[in-house]
Amino acid sequence: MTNLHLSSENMTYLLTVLRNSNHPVTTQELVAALRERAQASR
Amino acid sequence: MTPGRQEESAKGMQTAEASSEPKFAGTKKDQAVASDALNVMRAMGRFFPKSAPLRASVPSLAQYFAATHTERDEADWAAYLLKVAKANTDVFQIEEIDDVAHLVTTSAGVAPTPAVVDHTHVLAERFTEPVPFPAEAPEPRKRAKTAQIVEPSAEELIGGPVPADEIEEEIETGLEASDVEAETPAAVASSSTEMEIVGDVSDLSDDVLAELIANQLRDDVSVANFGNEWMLEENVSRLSRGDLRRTREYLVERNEPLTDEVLLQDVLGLRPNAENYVAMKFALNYRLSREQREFEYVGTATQRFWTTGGLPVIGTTKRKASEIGQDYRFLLNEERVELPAGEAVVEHVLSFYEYQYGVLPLDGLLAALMPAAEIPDQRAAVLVFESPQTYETFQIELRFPTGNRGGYLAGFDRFFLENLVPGALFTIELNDAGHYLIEYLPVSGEDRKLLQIDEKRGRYVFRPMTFYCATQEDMVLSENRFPQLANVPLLEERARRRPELALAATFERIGEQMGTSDAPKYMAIMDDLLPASNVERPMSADLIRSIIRSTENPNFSADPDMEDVFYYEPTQS
Repeated sequence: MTNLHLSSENMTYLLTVLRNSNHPVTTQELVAALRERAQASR
Repeated sequence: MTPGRQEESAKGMQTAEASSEPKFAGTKKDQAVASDALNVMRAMGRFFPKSAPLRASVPSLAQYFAATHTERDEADWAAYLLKVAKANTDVFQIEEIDDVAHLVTTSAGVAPTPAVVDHTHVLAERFTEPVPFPAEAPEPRKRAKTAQIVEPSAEELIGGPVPADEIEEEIETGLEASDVEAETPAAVASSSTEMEIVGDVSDLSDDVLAELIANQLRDDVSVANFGNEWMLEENVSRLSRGDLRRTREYLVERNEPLTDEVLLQDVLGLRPNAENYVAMKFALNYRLSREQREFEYVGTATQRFWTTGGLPVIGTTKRKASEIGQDYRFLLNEERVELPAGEAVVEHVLSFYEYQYGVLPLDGLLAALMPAAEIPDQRAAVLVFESPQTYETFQIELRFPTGNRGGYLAGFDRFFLENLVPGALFTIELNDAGHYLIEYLPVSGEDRKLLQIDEKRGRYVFRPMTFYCATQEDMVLSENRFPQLANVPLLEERARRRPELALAATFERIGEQMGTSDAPKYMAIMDDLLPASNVERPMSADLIRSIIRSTENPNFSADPDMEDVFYYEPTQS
């Protein structure tokens, strides 16, 4: 678990989500955003 | 100065002067023409800087030479001048401007070098040519970590150091693998020193993914984090020095920790229906968390309290918070218990120590009911407790456990003193609003002589008390049950701090003397030891059993036949 790292694409996407938001985003919302992106890319 | 020296000096000066003149190539005639041309151009630009280029068109120079030296006509002089210039490229450059040849030189007698103007830091350049936006987000900048603690693996903890032969075996295996073939990606991923990059997140559980996100975003200084909320740092509003000063003054004025919402509305004047209310709430929490010298976060996920220096301490003043934390140190060894699903109520029987200092241990189910620290290094959290039976609401401080101090709740002093007695049974329940309800079972008044501390004499005494709460009889310290405790002096602080010494004192106070006066031996049962030992310091039944069974305490022993019957034989000096 401690050796897992999110890829730079995932991190870039998370930063984009944060950049486009003018209010705080919860960790759960970020998890949902990553899942949505993973589904859309299939 | 002698005449000889003067000559040498003059020669030296002449040499220095001659070295500044260029040396021309070609025949003497060519050199003379080149020198003339240079002098003419120098005359044209006599007010120019030495490095500034001097330009003269070849026809104009030819015209001058034809007028002063009539042996050639203008065309010949033009061709001759070009020939001389080409032979002296160190002095002259030839430039074509509008199909007319020009000679270029400088006052210094050297060909000009192209001037390089550095526009890198020209303000106009910086404004008109901004740095293009990167196609990809830059790599997260790593935040400096204060400490890097490598946790030992389970094998290391349980099995101790790896034997040398095993290490050798591992090394050999590693060498063989590298000799035969390169490591596969899977092997790299399984190695404990390599990290595995996760591209597809669909295989990860929500909890694991949330932890990964939090760990990596927390390292990025461009991201602001508070609790489980995230924002880009540049998007978070800033608080002025005046805002911070007024926030601090308001906390001092109200004389108690206040929530972020109260501060937002009362200090910053923001209405809850304001468009940027949520963002400002995050900004307030984030910015205050950066001002660690002035503000301390003592909140939970549901109620984010802030406090500052100079506010009254929540909890007893009879004993230092650090000492109480030390008293509860044994809780650090206890395993964490999970609350049964759907249960949000915990029962507790009040001990003498808890009653005396208005504290409750963060153990067992009570620990499971309490919130965890919301931000790293959070020292304490303020919880709101309600007592529906007495119609009062009060703040309690939850002290989180640290490396060598156990966790506990403080601030029940007045509530316990006014409503309960040692041995009282009560419940703590978490309601939907994030408040805790404390309730006891009311009974008709009961008069009993119960143990108390005579502060003036520093001794335990029994005094009549009337109470209206249900009790658990085996935890009640009444005179009928423990008459030996009357007039017993309080234990010295040194002995109080050590559980085995406090337990030994308890045996001597309430145990049954089974030995002789020369070789005393005390016997006590758990039902008596537990309430009586909790007079001096907090002790759980598990702690008492572990002390008695420990080989480090040979003075204690357990009865082999009867459960929870224990003996203590003091060492004879």
